[in-house]
Amino acid sequence: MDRGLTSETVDDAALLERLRAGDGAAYEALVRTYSGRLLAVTRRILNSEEDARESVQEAFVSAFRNINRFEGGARLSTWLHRIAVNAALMKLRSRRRRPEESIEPLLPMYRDDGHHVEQFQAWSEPVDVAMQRREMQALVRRCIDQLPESYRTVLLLRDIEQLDTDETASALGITGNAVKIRLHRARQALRTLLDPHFRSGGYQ
Amino acid sequence: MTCREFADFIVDYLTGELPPDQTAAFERHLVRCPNCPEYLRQYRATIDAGRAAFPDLEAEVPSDVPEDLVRAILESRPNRGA
Repeated sequence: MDRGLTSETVDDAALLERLRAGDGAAYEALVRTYSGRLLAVTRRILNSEEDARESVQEAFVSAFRNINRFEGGARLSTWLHRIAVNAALMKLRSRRRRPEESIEPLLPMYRDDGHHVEQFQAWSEPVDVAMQRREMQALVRRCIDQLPESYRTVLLLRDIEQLDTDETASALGITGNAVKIRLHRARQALRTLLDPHFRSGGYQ
Repeated sequence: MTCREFADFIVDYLTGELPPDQTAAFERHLVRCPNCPEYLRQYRATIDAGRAAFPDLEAEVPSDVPEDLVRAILESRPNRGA
């Protein structure tokens, strides 16, 4: 991703100046420019449309409150993305109801000598081809939703929202090492869930 | 190296954070093991499939925002009317 000095960065500076001066039109421009992108972010993390909308609103309230603390080094869009991720995570924590299921049954099994029990069979078509189809996109999203919550969240933040290890650790209040372990297990579990579908070309 | 150890090194291998001696052991296992090359292929494909499952992400397509949500957000801005 281009994080250099682009026209967007220059526009950011002008918009920020007006926001800090309390210019109502600038606030409206900010909300109209970014709310759609932030809603897409909170929808990916949360399964409820109502929660996703509330999180976007909470993200903007937080952004408005902290607009003077925003430093010009980052892009406004990147800063808002982090705030939206955090708002969605807070919502997720407040909504967690049921105890988490174990991820163990979805992890690979090893023999006593440390080698795989399973013989892996090649998938039937390249993933980039299969993923052009909407039903495969929906199927993979459903498989991600089946992951235990604490693993699903790390996978979403690292592989989908592309936060780095430290950013993910700080958003979740866990160590970088815990992020790496959860990410690895989440990917392994997702591979197990995808395997029967990709082996058969998505017809299962 | 066992398949279990190989699997535990995958995250750091893919980000280039695995130290050189462990990278060499990892790649030796990859050549010798009949099973792990396919496992690594599928592990990588799983990451790609996850990203491709959210097509709005690649295209950076914003969601449609209901007008009442926009208004509610603007209601909460500080110094309204300033």
